[in-house]
Amino acid sequence: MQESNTPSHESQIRVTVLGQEGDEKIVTINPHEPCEQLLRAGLHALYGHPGPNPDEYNLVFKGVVITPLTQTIAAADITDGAVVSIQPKTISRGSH
Amino acid sequence: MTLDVELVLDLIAEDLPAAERQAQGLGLTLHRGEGERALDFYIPYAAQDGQDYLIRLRRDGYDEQAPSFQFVNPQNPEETGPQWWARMAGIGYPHGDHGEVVYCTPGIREYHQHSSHRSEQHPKSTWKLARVIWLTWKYLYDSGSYAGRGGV
Repeated sequence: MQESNTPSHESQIRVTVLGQEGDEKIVTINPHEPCEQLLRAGLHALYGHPGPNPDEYNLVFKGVVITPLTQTIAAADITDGAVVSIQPKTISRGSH
Repeated sequence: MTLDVELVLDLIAEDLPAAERQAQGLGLTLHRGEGERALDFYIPYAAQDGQDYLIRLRRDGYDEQAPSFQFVNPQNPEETGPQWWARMAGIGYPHGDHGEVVYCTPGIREYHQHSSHRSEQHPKSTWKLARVIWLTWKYLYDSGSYAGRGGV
């Protein structure tokens, strides 16, 4: 597992982010940042720069889509060692 | 389609850690059938009306073919049929050649076997178990409101 290059800091937490195929990376982030920042950082950690469009992804924690993404990471109860999943908002469906 | 069972088991073992992480991250419970050689995986779902459901992901022939996705009788997982499905308002329910209900999205075996999609080409990564776990979460929690049992 690779860790993102964000510098570690006492006030920061480590969050494991999972991608669509269960691939995982660790993001180090300030819990007072908004969740949208965790989404961006997670996408960058999983898929590199330039990452996919964050607007097309959900941040899922404990099975629930986090909304609004403007709330802080701490307000969403994401703490050090938490596991969040970053998943596309849409899937293709067949038509019959 | 016949694949070496040992090869299938090796491929499943390779995929399983990511699938388990995915299930944990999405708040799902993933059970394997009895024994380390079981090819079936199960995800239970408790609906808000108190009904209990069980999804079976069958991985025979992996990874040459996608996992089968079927709701089954929670008391007898070999029993499938429309009556065991949790219906979601945002989902359409086509049926396959043998009457099986189809969760109609790439990555699901019944989709790829459906006459409308047999000619499509998709990479094997489309049906990695971790991705199918995500498709399962998508079905249960992001496909419109729960609309009751059966009738699909």
